[in-house]
Amino acid sequence: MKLRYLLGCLIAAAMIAGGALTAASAQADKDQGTKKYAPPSVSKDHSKPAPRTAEGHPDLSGMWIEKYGALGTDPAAGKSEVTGRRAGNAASYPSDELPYQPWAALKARQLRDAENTDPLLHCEPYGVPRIWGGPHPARLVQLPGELIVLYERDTAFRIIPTDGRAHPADADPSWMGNSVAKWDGDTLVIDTIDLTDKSWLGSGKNAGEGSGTFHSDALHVTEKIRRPDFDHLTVEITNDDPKVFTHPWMVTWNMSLVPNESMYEDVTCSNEKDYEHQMPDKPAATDKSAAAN
Amino acid sequence: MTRRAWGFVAILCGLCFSALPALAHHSLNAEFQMGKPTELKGILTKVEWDNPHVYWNIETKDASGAVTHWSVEGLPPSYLHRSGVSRTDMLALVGKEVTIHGRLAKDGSKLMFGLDFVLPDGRVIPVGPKAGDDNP
Repeated sequence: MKLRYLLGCLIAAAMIAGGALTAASAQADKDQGTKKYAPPSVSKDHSKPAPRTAEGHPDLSGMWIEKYGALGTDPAAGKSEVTGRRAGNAASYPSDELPYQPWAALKARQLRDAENTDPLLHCEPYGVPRIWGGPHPARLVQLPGELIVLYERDTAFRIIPTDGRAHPADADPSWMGNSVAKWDGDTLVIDTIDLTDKSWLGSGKNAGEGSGTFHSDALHVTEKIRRPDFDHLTVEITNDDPKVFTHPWMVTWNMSLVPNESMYEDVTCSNEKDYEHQMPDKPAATDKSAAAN
Repeated sequence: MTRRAWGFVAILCGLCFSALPALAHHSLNAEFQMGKPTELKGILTKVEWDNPHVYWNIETKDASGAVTHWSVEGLPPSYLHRSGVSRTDMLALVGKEVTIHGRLAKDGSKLMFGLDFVLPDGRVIPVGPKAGDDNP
């Protein structure tokens, strides 16, 4: 009798466990089916004050991101080709947003129209200031006398002295240039020169990727970094290049703290295949009215 | 529908297509026919989870059984990871039939920029940038 009772209990337990497993499996399938493909959210709280270092400066340390690149589905799925529209955004030159001198505005348009001119397609680095902004986080490590910036984009880094030293007199031109920084109140002001003229700038909204946004070897970049509250960082960049622009211009990246974010490797050309397929539209780039500003 | 309403729809469609963004490090418009939505249905044969862009190899068959090998380009691994699409998710699809919505290369090569995957059970996995995002 006892044995039969025990057997019954075992069968019942097995059925319950089996049912639970089936339910768990179905739930997993359901979860998979309803998985939301969305990046993490960022804090909108501006009330918490920024931490400070022993020296009394705001501590800029942290993992920061300008924006997450949300994924989307095809807005035109199931629809046919749109007719009557020019292919691509040929009429739009992001470089026109920048205050290029007339000859330089024309050159920027021509660079965009030419094939494969973007340095990135040639496995070259982003460089300063193009390295900032977008969906790749930057990790700032503030130490006494220096700021270390680790960029996910391009898997790049900078070590910037903040001890008040001057630029060396004989720095070689480079993609990141030579940077020195000093504090102006709660703002860290980074001064960068000796930038190679091989790099390109982003446009004002950094939408000018691959848009011919060249500069000269006279480019002088000033980055003003502030941490107005615990969760936010602003990087205000001024690009001054009297050889190609009519006046200095500025772009500001508003970044959010993402302490739980990981950094992924972002080497430019591990598996680059776009180079051979780039076929930009070729509108009339000889239009000398290009330099509207 | 009135003529005016049709005009409005046309403008909306135009905005929809023009809103498709630049790539992470180069222009989509310079490489793909962005005004021409295309669907590719075939077997996923390989995943190249690498920088600067993820690639998927797709094998399609026409009515006569002739096989064509396609390459589908997507966003960088970091973008996909941060929105919940992992390499493991993609490797699990190898050998399975998928439908991909995207845009074909301008140069006529067997290359597409993928915007989303539709699986046989109807699930949709976004792999392209969000429309209207000019700096994905």
